[in-house]
Amino acid sequence: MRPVIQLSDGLSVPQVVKQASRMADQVDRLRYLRGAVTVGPGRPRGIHQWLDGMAVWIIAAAATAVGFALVLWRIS
Amino acid sequence: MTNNDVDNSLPLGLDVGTSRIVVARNRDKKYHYDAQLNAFITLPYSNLAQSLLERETVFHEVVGDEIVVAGNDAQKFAEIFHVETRRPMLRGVLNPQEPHSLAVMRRIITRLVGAAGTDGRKIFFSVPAPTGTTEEGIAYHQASIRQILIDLGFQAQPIEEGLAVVYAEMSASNYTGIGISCGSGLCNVCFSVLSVPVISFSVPKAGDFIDAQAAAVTGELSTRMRVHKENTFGLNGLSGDRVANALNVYYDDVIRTLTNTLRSTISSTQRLPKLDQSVPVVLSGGTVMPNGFLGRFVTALRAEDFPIRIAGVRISDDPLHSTARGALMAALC
Repeated sequence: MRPVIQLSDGLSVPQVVKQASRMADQVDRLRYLRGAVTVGPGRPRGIHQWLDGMAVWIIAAAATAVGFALVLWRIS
Repeated sequence: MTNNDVDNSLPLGLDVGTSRIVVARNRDKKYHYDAQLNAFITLPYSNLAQSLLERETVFHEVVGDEIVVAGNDAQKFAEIFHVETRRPMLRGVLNPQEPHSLAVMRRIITRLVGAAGTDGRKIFFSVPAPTGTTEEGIAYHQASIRQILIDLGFQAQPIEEGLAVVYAEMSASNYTGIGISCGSGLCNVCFSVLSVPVISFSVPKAGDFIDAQAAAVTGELSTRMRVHKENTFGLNGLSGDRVANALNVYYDDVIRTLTNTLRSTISSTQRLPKLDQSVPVVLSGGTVMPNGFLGRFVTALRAEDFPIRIAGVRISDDPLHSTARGALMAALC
């Protein structure tokens, strides 16, 4: 599994770095980072990751198929 | 609240090292340190000896039919009597072969930090990272030190030594980098990203290994090796001095082992978090202090490809206090 940087809601790594870099006091900076950043185990690799990536395409294909079916039903 | 009351409630950082125990305090926005040698010797009890020690205010305790002299005073007595000091810790944890270990540690820690003063006063104390797949007594060591501090009234939290070095030294890189503490028992390493430890491990070759091996091949005492190493020694290559030559050889061994383990551990970590920038490396601890250490370390690091980009390697400005300062910073958060 890939360790990933996890951040507080709505923040990105550049935002966190920018915010931390503004803090002159070392303890304030450390306190902020310890609150904002964690490292998690990340997502499992392999079939699960592949399925995660494929999910959007499967949903899109299913929606298209339903759409076509509705159109065909209306025409007939 | 008086100044004394304020002092008694401020957090503390404690470096529980194999060779020295150091406490860091933050007073008036400045760091202050007190240290004691983590060693002792025993003398046979007699009234005369005890009264002499008391008169000279030597740090000691009577245990059964022995007098235990601990801390910095143990070194003086060891030199006078030409004996080795005994060590409460071995390779970063409580020494399993030493029956006095816990009692001596309790005495030294109590002398350094005193009672908490206020309930729940925070203290962070350093602990080693595992050396490999085995745990090697770290849990017992950690629980024992924690209990000593809890008995003194503190709210005690452990922090890995390498991470403490990152906290003390890597503010400029937002606590991203590799902190290495080369002490007596172990070299502790932590790779941290934005203050969060990603990889931590320790290498069981450090100052004591150098002293013991150099003493074995020169027929000297380990204690003498340590004193020589701390006072005059530099990594200048081989010369006519056989003690310096032995120290050089075993220093090289430690540096090679450390850099190879660092390289292989980072390489074998399945995948690291994505890093856009190169990372700094900071070295601390008493073992990195001889002249020439940094050059040898950098040469060994660059001998083969390294799995991440290194921004630079430097030695801490205050290598003996870095771990305690990092522990204090964690306690202040």
